Amino acid sequence: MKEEVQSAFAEMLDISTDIDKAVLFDAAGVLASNMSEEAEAAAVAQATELSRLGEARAGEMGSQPFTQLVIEAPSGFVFLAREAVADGMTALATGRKGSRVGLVLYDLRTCMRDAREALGAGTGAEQGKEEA
Amino acid sequence: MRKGLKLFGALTLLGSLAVGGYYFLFMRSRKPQIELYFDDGSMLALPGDAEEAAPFMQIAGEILKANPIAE
Repeated sequence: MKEEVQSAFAEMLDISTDIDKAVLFDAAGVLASNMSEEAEAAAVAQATELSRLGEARAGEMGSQPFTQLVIEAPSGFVFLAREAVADGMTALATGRKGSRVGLVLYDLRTCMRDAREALGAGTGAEQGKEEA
Repeated sequence: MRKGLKLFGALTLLGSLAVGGYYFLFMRSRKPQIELYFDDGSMLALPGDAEEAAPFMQIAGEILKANPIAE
């Protein structure tokens, strides 16, 4: 099961030439990553904080749950995609300048969908949506 | 008549270059730097220098500092 998740993650890195570093995690911990262990732990904490900020913004706006984030910084991009359910998966990635934003987000979500299929339906909101 | 057309063409070319240069130098740098997407498909764009963008930009800076982009 873990191998299938790793395989989905590796495929995403192969396909998306704009993604440099990425980490995929859920409430149980890191599922796949190409970061160093030290950077990985920090990235999970930072992604969790970004999700919290996004959720706070969604709350203020009275909108649906926050699902994706793109930040264009002077030195590159930061992308975040998450399942809009409690304890769902989150993917954080860094991207090169000039990254194709739509494609990167699509690749992150595809990776999460494949990982969710490998892990089983569980808390997956995505699967439920596809069936609907 | 031909001279007038040439002048018009030259002015059009210069005008296009000026507009292109203005867009490249000024407008391009003003595009939103943060985009948040929500489950209903709505999106919120924030300029990178907006007050509410500061915490996002700070964390993004930390992430990119710890994971420098490989050229």
